[in-house]
Amino acid sequence: MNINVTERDRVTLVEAHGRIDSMNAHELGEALMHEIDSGHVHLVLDLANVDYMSSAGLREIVFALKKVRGSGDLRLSQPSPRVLEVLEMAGLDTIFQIFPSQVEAVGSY
Amino acid sequence: MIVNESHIQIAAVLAQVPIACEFVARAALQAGLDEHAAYHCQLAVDEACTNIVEHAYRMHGENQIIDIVCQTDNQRFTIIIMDDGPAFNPLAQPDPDPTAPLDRRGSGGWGIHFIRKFMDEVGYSREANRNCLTIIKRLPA
Repeated sequence: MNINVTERDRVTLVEAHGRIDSMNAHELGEALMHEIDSGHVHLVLDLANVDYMSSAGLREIVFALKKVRGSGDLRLSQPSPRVLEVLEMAGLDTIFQIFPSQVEAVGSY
Repeated sequence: MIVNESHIQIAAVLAQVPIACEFVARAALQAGLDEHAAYHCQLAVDEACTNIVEHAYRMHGENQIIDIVCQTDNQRFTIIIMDDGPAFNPLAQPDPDPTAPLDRRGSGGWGIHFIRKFMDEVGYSREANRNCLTIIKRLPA
C-alpha cells in the first residue's frame, strides 16, 4: 500500500493505493493519526485505488474517526464496490460520510 | 466426492497470510467460483489466519504453522484452516453489532463476522489437538 497526503482548500486528502490488510493497516492508521495530531482535522480518505480492505483496515479508520470526531471529521470518497461491501457489512456506511468523488468529499467541508 | 484437493502450509506470521490468500483465491477460481466469490474466500482466509496469528499465537508464531486445505466437490468449494494453538472456537464468539453507534464500537470482532457473512457455511472442530475451521462456498449450479 502507498499513501499520499495533500492539502486542498484546508482539507487534508489522504489517498491510499493498493491492498489494506493486517500487514499494513497500521500504516494507514499512523498516517491518519499523524494528520489529526498535527491539527489537520478535516480529512478525506480517498479509496479509489484500494481494491481490498480487510477488517484490519476498518479498525484503523474507525479508530481515527473516533479520535477526530468532535473537532473535525474523516470522510471517505470513491470506495470500490468491494470496499463498500465491507463498509456496509460492518454498518460503517451509516457512520462515515461517503462521497462518490474526491471533489464532492473535499467540497463537503 | 472430492474431485480436487490442494494444500498450503504457512508460518503463523502476518507476512505469510497474503500467500495463503493468493493460494485460496486461485483454487477458488479453478473450482469454478466467479471473481467476487473467490474474493470472499480470500477475505475469509485473511481474517481467519490473521486471528490465528494475533490471538492463538499472540504474534509469536514464527515457529508455528497454519495449514490450509482446499477441496472441491461437485457442489462446494471447501476451505479447512488448521492451527496448533489452544482450543478456540471463533464461531462461539458473539457477533459485533453493525448498528452500534461510533462510541460503542470496540476494536475487533469484524473478521469472524465477515467470515460468517461472506461464506455459505462455517464450522469449527477440535481434531488431534488442532483447531479446524471449515468454511464453504457453494459452487454455481
